[in-house]
Amino acid sequence: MAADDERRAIDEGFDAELALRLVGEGVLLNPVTDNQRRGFGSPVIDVASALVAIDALPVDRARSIARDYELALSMRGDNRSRSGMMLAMAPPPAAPVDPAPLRTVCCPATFTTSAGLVTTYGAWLDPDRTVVVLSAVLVQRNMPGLQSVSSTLTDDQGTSLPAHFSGGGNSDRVHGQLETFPGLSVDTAWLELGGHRLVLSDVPAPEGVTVEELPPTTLGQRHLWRCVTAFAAQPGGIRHGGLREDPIEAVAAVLVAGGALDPDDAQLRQARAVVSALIAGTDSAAEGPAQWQSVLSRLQPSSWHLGNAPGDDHEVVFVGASIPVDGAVVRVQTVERHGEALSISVDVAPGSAFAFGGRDVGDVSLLWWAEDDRGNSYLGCPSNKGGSPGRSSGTIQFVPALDPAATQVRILPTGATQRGIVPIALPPREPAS
Amino acid sequence: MSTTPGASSRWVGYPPATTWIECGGDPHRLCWRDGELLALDHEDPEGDRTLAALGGESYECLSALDTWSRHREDLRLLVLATRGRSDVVRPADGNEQHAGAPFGPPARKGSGPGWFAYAPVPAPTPAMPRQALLSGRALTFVSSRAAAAPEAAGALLGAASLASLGGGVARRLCAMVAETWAERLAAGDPEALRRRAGLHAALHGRVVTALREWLDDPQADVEVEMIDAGAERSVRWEDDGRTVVRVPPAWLHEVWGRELEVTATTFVLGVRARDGALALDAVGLDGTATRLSIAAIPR
Repeated sequence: MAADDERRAIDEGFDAELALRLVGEGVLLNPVTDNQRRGFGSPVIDVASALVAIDALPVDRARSIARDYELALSMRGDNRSRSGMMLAMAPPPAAPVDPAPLRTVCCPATFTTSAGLVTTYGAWLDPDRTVVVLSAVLVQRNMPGLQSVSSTLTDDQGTSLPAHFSGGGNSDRVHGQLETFPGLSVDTAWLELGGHRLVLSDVPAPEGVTVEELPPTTLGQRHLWRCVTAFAAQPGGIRHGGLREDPIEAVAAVLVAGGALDPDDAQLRQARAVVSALIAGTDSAAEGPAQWQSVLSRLQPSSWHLGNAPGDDHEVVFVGASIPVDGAVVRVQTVERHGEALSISVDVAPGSAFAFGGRDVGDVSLLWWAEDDRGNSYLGCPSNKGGSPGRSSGTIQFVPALDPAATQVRILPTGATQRGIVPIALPPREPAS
Repeated sequence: MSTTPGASSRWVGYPPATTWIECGGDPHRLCWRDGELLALDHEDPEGDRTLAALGGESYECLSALDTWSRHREDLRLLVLATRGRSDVVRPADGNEQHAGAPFGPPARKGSGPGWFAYAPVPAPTPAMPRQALLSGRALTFVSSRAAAAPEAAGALLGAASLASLGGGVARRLCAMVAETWAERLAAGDPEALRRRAGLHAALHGRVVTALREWLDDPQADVEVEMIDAGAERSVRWEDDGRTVVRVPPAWLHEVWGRELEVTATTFVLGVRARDGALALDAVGLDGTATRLSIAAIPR
């Protein structure tokens, strides 16, 4: 059924506002225990979003009701509303900021600074900021060493700006990026860091970057799967041992009640199977879409958390691909392989299209998938976020571990009706010593 | 003390309710009586209001009265306030050191540990039972995000402050809001029809809370049907374990507002005031209809 037809098919006798309010009353009247609580979860916001997604309730009305119930929860103490309250009071989404053209460069070098042995990989530059991606073997351990990575960047116009380090690692080595705000000269031929001159060579935009329409589906089915993916990808989800409670039943109930989903719909059964696997920590679902079967079949429940280990080989591919997806503009800046961990750095406008943690009512933020040339799928989990309402940037960590034999990946930023495709050739692995 | 309007028969059976708030550094009494919110410790509220305007001061008691005047028809009050005795509205984390006055200016921005802080509770005095002080805490919204939408945040603050008034005051205020909308709904007011879901949810939460208290079963599965004013009220038990309650929105001010929802081991479906006494239509735990009469109204 086409979406327009489906909107007309929403049960006219269905009182969406009452359905949402009764969910709110249920949450208030049935306190959950600490063990049942979701870190970023809010059933009220989840159901409000579902009703907006099937056009059963205007977003402003749904957001207002959800906000009131989140406030009511907060007034009952016990931290019963956390991210929900923050979202409920957040300002309305800002208009997208059209990202300035991005220049992506390579600057491979290894040199010694006061922080230690620094390896630079590349950089991207626009008027807003200059970012140099690097790793460092620290002279001083722990925080003093980490702080000393922050330094000054200078361009060929003689402009110098303080550059702040953000990233991660351990007491011996860190990896991350140095950033200046605003950016240095976008056209600079070189950057200086710690007295060392980095000569910049431009990276051509990758070939084959495109956007495609998603297969037609009903509003209810679409929203259901978006919920499954978003819940799995959020902190406390698939990267941290799976789900602790069923996040979709309240959503499914309201989609069924509203006539947007048949209670016997095969996709509802499949979504429940995937969620059950995520809760149980099992490595497969009885049924479900191919991408989910691929992800679940390769998860190792004992080590779902995918981290970096000291000594892991670290490769950074500079991409500089920009692509419009469902009204947002996605810039994939780098693809990194750190041991078996695959991650990307992205920049998204508007910032609200990049969700990290809780999601707001009416959220249409992007979901992140990837595929490799071995037929494997990966789920992208945002692991940090910064920026403004108009524009956000952050890191997407993919799970499960990257297939060692993969030589190419396709990054798939996925909206409600479209997905971008950014093909990336992975660098050959260092032979194991 | 502010003037007390003459008692109206519609408030028969509504005992006065009093709570304490901090006003100008002193504990003051806010009292609900006969449908009016009163600042008992201000002999001349209008005079104090003028003095406050001239002196640039603020009196939290008077702010509370002003806040109530702006929220007399605000159904959000019923979303935020208590559903009943077992639903306690209280501070989120018990942290009382980052406070603003309940009806005064918000606390210093960024001073709170989270989204809310609460008014400090004055040290108990013999004249102020500890329980009254605790229940008189008011909530102050100090979220830094309020700066993004000050009008919306201010309106929420007002409703939340009223909803957190203790001593039974919030319940009386909720009953007044509910009565307004129940009457408008019964009269077919289009605006009330648009707000029907809000009234239904408010009724649902309070009936469920009362039923669970009555049945002594916090997990009881209760379904609430909001019926028209003249329809027959009932409680019935279904074979699947559900308890189905059919009451009109007027139940909120007739019964719940008077704190009569569970009386003498019965669940009260309706209350009528006659000659200064109350006639209660109730149902017993065995399902039999019961009529109770309360002759002496606590004043």
